Amino acid sequence: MSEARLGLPNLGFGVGLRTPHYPHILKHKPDVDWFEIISENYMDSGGRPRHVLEQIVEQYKVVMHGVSLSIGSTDPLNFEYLGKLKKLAEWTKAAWISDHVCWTGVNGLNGHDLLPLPYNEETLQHVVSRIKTVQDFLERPLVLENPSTYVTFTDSTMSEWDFVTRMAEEADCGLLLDVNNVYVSCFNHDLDPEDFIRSLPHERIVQFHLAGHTDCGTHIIDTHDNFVVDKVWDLYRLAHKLTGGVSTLLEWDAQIPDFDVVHGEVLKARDLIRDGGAAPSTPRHAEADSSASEQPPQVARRSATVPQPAVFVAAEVE
Amino acid sequence: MTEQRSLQNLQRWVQEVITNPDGIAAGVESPTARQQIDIGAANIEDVVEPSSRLGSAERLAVYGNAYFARLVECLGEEFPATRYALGEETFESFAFGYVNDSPSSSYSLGFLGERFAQYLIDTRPTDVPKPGWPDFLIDLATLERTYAEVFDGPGPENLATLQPEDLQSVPPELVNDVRFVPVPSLRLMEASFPVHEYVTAVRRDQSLEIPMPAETLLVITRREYVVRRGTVSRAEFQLLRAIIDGNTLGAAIEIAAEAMPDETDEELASNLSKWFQHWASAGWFLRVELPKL
Repeated sequence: MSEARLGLPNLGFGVGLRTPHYPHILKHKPDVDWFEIISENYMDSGGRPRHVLEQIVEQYKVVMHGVSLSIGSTDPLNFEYLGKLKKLAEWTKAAWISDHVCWTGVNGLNGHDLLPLPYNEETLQHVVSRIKTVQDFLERPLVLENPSTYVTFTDSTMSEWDFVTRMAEEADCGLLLDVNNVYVSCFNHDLDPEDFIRSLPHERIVQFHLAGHTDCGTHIIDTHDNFVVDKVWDLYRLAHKLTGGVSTLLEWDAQIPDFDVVHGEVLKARDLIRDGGAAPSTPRHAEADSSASEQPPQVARRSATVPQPAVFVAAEVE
Repeated sequence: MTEQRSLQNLQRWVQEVITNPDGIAAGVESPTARQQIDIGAANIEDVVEPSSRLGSAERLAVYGNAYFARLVECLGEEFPATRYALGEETFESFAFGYVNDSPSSSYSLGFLGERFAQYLIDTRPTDVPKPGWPDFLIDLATLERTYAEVFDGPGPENLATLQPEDLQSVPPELVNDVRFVPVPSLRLMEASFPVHEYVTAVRRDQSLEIPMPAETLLVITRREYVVRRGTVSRAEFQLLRAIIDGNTLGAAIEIAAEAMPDETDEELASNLSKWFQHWASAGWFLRVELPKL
């Protein structure tokens, strides 16, 4: 790699673009550094989502974040999907394209979840090979995120951070460090999140994600439905120090509050860096526990604690 | 580490296990899972490590629960009126069955509900006379899916649409031979219940009783990126259907007349001018195409 972060810029402090905020953004044109869009929500859109995005990209820098690349799947790569991804990136002038170190399905199916991989040599070579193919096709580097995970496999022979480090270096790709995901996965797998962050190749980290989660006591679920907790802010401060600062984005995907609340949450990161002091104050309910984590399969409730991603755009009808 | 399996075996095993409708243990014991990794439910730890707080099966259950919960939730967002009519618990049961019957094969959740109405048709109780409660649900789901497709599909917003004066420029001797080109979002739907009113009421948080059956002929399209719907008469519906199927205006009028034996030619003809004006002002068509000479 010739340049740190693949030569990609620090865009500042951004927010994930979500449909409930469309009217506010179009009307008030808030002073946001950049937006991250969910690629799959716009790849096939010929309606209002696409129309709104057209106006957004005229005024803001945009990054594309996908949830269905399935870079770790043993199914063949979907070149129809990649073609649409590339076309959307050209149209939006996306600063970069990101997805996750995961797989979403096999045998032609998609579970719409970010499923974990076993970290071993076979997986590493498989993923590296596919990243290179995708990067060649897209004609740009790929940026990959550590997902929140809830299981580890006996087939693993290396840590997640060793896997991610070797993957990034051998495939020459970028990393999206989701600080909340580090916290969630390390809690779930009895690991030290600081070790995780300290062990990564910091010069390859292009972007940070921040989000809220749900603490179920025995495990934590990455729900993106709350404020960032203090311990994640502490990790963010560490990651900022180790990387020198990169583009930072706040994700909020369920029980989405007003735009100003979401924007205000990511601006806490700016204040934290500027002040260099203590973690921002987290509202008390952000630390609330949930007892709704274990739903019997047949009783999947709308209010269930559903890990991200769950991206769906509902129709507007008159 | 125990015996190492191929990545493909492991992924197929995980998918079988977490998508099994009867839960993790049943998934592990299923023949399809055992074809990939031949272990029983008592030996899940051979594949998935426990944590200090959760056992291996409990950890896998996070994914199993999330799989159904996420997709059922997305279906609930796409079919809010169907969900309201059925009630949460019954809708979840239908949606759960549908997800199990038709798992997603697309990169986008936008395609998840495309076969939901067909699933309701396929599982309709045969002993309920038509039109009955199951048909109301089928109509509801069909309409809500149509709304979703029209909302985010190709639309007329950046296209010039037919204007009332365009019709007047057609030479009288060619009128029968013109073809109307619909906007890409135009859909017709025939329902046994006035489901459009029910869907609108639910979206406005208004409480409604299940309506009595009534033939409902709907035209659905989009303007300014918002889905619009309206009802038309049987004669207008038949004519629109024939036109959208690609017939010339003259042939379409004949087809519509044949399908409406009680409607006289004079009655049909007297309505045409009024309908054409309405179609143009409602933006249902892009243009009329003259025959190639």
